[in-house]
Amino acid sequence: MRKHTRRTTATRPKPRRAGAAITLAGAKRPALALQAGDKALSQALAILGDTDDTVPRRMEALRVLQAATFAEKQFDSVRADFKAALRKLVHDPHPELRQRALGLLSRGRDDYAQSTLLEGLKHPAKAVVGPGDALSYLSYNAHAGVQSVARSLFKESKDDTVREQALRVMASDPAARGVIRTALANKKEPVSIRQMSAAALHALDPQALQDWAGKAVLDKTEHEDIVATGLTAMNQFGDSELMSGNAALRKRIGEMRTKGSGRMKRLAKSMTAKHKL
Amino acid sequence: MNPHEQQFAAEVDRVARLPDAADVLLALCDEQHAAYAGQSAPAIARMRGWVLEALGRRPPLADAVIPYVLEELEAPSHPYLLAVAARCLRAAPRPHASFAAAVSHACRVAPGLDAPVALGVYGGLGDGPAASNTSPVRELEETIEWLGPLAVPPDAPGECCAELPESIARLVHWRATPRRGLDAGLDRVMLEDHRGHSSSFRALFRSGQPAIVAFFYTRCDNPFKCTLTVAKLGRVQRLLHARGLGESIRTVGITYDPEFDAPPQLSRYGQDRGLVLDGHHVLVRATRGFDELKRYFALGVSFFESLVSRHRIEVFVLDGSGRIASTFHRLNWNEEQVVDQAAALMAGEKAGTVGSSMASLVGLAALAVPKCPLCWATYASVLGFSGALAFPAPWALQVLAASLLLVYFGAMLWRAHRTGLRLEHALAVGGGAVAAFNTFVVPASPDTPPVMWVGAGLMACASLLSVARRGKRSVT
Repeated sequence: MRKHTRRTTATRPKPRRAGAAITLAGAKRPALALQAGDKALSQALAILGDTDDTVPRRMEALRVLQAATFAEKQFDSVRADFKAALRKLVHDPHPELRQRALGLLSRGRDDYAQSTLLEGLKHPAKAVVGPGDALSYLSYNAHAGVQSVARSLFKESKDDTVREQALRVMASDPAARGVIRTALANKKEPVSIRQMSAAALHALDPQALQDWAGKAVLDKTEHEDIVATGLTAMNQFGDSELMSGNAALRKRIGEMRTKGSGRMKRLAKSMTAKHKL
Repeated sequence: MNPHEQQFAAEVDRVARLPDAADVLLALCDEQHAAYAGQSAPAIARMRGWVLEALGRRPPLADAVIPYVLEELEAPSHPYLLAVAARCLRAAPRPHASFAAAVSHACRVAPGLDAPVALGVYGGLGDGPAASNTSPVRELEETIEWLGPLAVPPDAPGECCAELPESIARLVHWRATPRRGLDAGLDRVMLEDHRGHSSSFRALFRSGQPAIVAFFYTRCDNPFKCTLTVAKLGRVQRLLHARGLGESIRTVGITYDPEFDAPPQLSRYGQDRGLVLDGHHVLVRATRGFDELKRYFALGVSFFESLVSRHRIEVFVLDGSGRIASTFHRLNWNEEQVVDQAAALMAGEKAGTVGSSMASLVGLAALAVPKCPLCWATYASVLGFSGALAFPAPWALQVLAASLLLVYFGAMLWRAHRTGLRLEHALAVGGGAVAAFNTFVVPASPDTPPVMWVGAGLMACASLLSVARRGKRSVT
């Protein structure tokens, strides 16, 4: 059990003094020495766009500008310039800045960022980030037109991280239902991909997931993690009446209650209690 | 820019130099244009922006273009399209007070969408990441100047649905379409509601009650389109209840995205936006025949794979037979105006019903005409059925009709048993069966052939034949 220690006055952080450098995760933030008033934002924009400046200072300028976006009225005068600066950062040599800019632009459904990311997925030589990250940024906008790219990446990529990201996109794409079902049923697929496929199928076609789960639980050659996924799906979303009418399922759950790992026993017992099997 | 967009942009440039460019470009503003099929939402935004730019370069702007421009100002979603629309409006022949509300609304939204835009460049993105010559806010500022004293401050309380000049209003706001019949293809349409209950289009919309129908989809990311439409449908419900019409006029929301919008999604989406959902006020998806539905309502929607890529605002008032009585589309609609339309339709149908009910009464009065039992049943059937569909409480008259039919068939069987099966009995039973089929199985309507009258004719023949034979026997 985790010990809860009471902070003493000595260990408690001191209240921040005005003008002191802000600390986060133990690292000191560089002071930007910004002027007061409207000029501060222009200054921060200049620092952000200066590729000769240090990365920490530019990151700090980005943080200041991002925080200022909440002050809508004051920020309106530089909003378009801020977007222009972020678009430039998409091609910055520093990946950290590139990623921050892409994250901010993608959340705002920026056309330039989306086009650049899609272009990179289609022509890897032009990519500004890896395909997994690109899919992740593009998934902020369901209308960006990334669904077909995600399907083809899922089929062709050898990188499971990219394939997992593709599955996340496919979870809202009814046209991907067939691909997801195939991946779920394919015992050669990695367990993580199959588990994610189960979640994606539940989002698209809950009944299809229940049908699959019924078969997976009865399949004694199936991987334990996959059986557990099937049991969880049935336990959470299954139809009690249908399950209690299924003699083979009742028998299998009965076996699981007595044999197998502790996790499977717990799941089987929970199912028996909840659905009165 | 994908190859399709490149081709499209080149074609627009070519067309823009032609003398009749305005008509061709206007046709490209339609969401159903083949050029938009299979294109993603950002691609369509770029394509439409390019068309509007071309139209804006040819002042004065025709009335028919203005709804497309105002639409982008009322429901802005893309910086390039917003900047183009703001500039394009300035090509209108003169400022109008109704434009000011849309511009004011756009000004409230624009700061959040502000971005560098390069007008005159396809898609609004210049050569470099920051290449631009304007922004949505800058264009709107110039449009406010152009509006002059008509401009409304952005912080003024928002006013819905400003009164447009008649020449523009008739294009969008309230266009009473000529009453037309139901397409045969609608028989294929099956609708599943938010509770998971299925019904045919005819069963849902031919209940004798007018309906207010709005289209939406739950994945729409434009807060000024689907979310607003469904929230307004909720207000329509409240207005109907306030006028005591909640039970006599239906509200129906139909999703553009039937593959994704399953009943639980529909239910959540409606309730979150203030809809009261039950068996009378429903959100539905087409589990079969969406294409027929799309054709019937002439929906302004385009798709990219399984996802809606572009749509306009669409609200319809249907009469008690499911026929489109009026259409509100593209621009923001006024809930009270829609309710007024439906209420007027209801009143009109009630007036028609009274007339039909008089016919029913005449039909029933015919029962009193002293004739043989066979003729009684015949007249009752002919006149009773003719008024059955329009009776204020159709079920009551249908019960009466069913009872009369049973009496009729019983009498036939009894007569056939007593006198042996004859031609008149066969004709009478056949006629009765046809009339019953045309009443209970495939109900008669002004659009379907009057099969019922064939049945009535057969029964009348049976009656005459019976009387003629009896007369002959009496003479013998």
